[in-house]
Amino acid sequence: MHSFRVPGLHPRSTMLNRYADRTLGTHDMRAVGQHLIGCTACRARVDRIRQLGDLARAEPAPVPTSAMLGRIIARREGGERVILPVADVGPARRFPAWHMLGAAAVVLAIGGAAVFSSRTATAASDDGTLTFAPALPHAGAEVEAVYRPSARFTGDSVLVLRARFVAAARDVPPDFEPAPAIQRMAMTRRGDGTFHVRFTLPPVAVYAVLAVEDTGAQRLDTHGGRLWELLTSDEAGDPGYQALLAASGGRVGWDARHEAARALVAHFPDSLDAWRTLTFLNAVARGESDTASIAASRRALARFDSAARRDGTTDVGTISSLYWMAQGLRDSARATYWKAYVHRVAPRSRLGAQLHAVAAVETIPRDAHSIVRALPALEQLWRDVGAIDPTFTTFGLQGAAAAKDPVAIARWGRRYRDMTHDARSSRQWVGGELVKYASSRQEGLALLRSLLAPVDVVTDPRRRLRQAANERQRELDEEHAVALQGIGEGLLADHQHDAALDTLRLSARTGWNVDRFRDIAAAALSAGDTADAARMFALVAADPGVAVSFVDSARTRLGANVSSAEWQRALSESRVELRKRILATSVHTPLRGERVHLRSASGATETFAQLSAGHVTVVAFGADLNYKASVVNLAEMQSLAADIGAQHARVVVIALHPWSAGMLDSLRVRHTPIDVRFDDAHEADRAFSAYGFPIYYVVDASGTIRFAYSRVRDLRAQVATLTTEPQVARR
Amino acid sequence: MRTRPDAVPHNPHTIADARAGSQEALGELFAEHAASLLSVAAHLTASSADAEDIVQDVFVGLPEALRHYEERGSFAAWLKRVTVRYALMHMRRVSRRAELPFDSAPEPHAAQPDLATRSSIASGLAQLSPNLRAVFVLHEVEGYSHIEIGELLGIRAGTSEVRLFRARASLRTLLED
Repeated sequence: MHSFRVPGLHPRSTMLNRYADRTLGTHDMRAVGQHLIGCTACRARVDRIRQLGDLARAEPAPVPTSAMLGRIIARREGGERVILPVADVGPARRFPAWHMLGAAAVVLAIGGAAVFSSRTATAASDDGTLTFAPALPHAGAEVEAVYRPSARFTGDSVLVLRARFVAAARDVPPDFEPAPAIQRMAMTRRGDGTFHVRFTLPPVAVYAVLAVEDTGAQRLDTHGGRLWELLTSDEAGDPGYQALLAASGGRVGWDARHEAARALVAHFPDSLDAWRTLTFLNAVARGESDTASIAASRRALARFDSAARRDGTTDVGTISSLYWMAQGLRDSARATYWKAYVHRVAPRSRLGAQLHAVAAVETIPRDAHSIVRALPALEQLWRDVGAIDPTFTTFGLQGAAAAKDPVAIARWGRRYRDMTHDARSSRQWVGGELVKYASSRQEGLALLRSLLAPVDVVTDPRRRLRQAANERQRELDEEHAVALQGIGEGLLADHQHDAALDTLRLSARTGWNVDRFRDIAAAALSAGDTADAARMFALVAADPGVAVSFVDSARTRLGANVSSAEWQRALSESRVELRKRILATSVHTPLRGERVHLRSASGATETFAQLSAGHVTVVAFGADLNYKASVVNLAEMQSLAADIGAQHARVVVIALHPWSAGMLDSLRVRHTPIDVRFDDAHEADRAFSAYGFPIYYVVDASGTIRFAYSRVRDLRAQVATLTTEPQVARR
Repeated sequence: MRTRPDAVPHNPHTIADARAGSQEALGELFAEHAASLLSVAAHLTASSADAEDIVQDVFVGLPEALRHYEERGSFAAWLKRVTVRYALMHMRRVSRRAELPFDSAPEPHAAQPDLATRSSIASGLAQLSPNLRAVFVLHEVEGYSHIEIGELLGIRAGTSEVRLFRARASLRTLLED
């Protein structure tokens, strides 16, 4: 019996509130209602509660005006975009209660989940420590970050904590998503020397990666390149499904991502997507050699597969995961089944349309002539499936460019830019194509000019967490140079020769890109400017990666307008310039960890220090993936090793895991005898903080990384700069 | 029981056109929905100026955001949820900036109510903490359930209910003073 049925006693405030909201159960509603009949005070309280809502709803709101709409249109026309939070945080995804009796045992078999140990772990001795309270907050919660600084921040009173917040994964391909913008927060020093900041997690964020830097973004603490991470919790206080899923995609280093995927499966063994993620990362980080993991994934797939068939699922997310997991495990029978199934039950779903688009594009040969012929089919496909597959849109733009059809370029360009959220790289490509044709030149010039707007590199939300301000500036300088080159060529085609040559000169002022120098030389020649052409040809000739025959051909094209002495002087100045510009892109990143052990295919283990033996060394990371992207570059590495051997420089190719017999056979067929080393203990992965494949580094004689994420075409110049330039001297 | 304006009819072509970047279609959506979005944003932020900024931003970002609208539920409800989320982000940004020496300039639209020109409920709402105000507005004005509010704010439904009761108690005290 309720106590308020006793005369003189009243229902608690909570009950009256729930009564006002009509959220009490029938029994309680009746009991409170009866009390109200005889109690004026409580009746008045309920009335006041309801009145509050009525008053608030009656409040006048601002009225939309045409001026406001005008401002919206003007902002869009100015190229401004706002990324809106379109997804809920929501609770962790719930999956069908498949009986996964074997799942827990499988997780134990592949090792316990130690995913959270890295959050508070101290990295290299030069790094500080960053901790969070609470350590596992809810989405939208307030968090206090405490940073105990490394020696590099002695004397700073304010530091900046930068964070990339990751929203819950949605059922869209990652190519559709813009990279989340990075937010900055000021940390202030306390008396004990630690730095503090309180911040509120965005309500849609499930995961964050973070780094600390000084206010000028010159000195960074990136937790030894790995970044710190913050996972959000579910209602039970455990790491949430979406947080772990985001960690398996957002951490730096394949091994760290693989570790997160293992924890994901450990916590959510009934989740098909968790298994799909683990299967993919197993393939990358462990390869075909880890037969136990592959067998576990196959068993999981078989169970999910039979449950889905038994239930006759029509959930496209489930079908999609089954299809992609079967593909990843090379289970062609199941992949074929689910592909046919989705065409039958959900042909217009994202997966159905995507498979249709991919199948149509795959039938097109990759040469320009065939793509041009396929343009009408691509148009029809666009009308059928729309903005589904980024690869397909890329094909459309390539086809339009090959067809030299400015109208089609503009059309596919808009689609491509739309698909990439108007990324700067897409504006660069589309703009560069459009300036080639009179009818679309102005549109192309406007796009390219939009890339020249000044950017504050310190506060730039596009600057990566591991990127210092000067590194971002160099990246932007390169972007500006490409845009200026496009503008210059556009102006040249428009017969504005003086403006064109001025712009082209500007574009060659920074960075090192022999292709650009070569293009500008040709443009200068066509405009009759032999002096500029000679300067550009000399820059190309100074690069040790350029064939010696090029020097002769350039000399011939310049003809008698440039004397031998002038040419030699230009060459000599270009060599100095090469060194200066290449060094401007160098870094000084010590390798993490004491030793990096690497095993050869024959079983012998040596350390990286033994392999490099105090010489400048190019390090190439590769993996045994289905697409075998790393194999393609082995021949190039072979040729590079031969070229730079004269400078006593070396090449070490590292694979994250032992390559399969098929891969090794493939190498033998290709007669590629280059030595490949296996990173069995994942020490190289940690030492270099590698992500993506293939990746190239250049390490100097002291064992410090001097060039990271190099382009293959730059490796020779980078090696030559770090050694004694014998390659340059041969010219 | 209050109902939310979920059933506002819309022309599906308008959404497709706006998604493709048509200004005319964007204008149609603005004419149809801006008033209700301004209302929810103004209630949430307790500031007309902030509300206008938020709704402007929502329409600037709408064509791209529409890619994620699957045309299954009510468009008006979807758009309102996006606006609410964006307004909540805005509120957190403002409160975080207020704590930091980073942007030393004061917020141009700091949510300090002009009590003399406001009704008592409006000034009461403006004096509530953003967390309490958000729950009160979403429940009482917009008619969201505590489960829905929990999803939007990243809190438990029970926490939402407790915040609602606290908000009402605070409002009563403020209005009776």
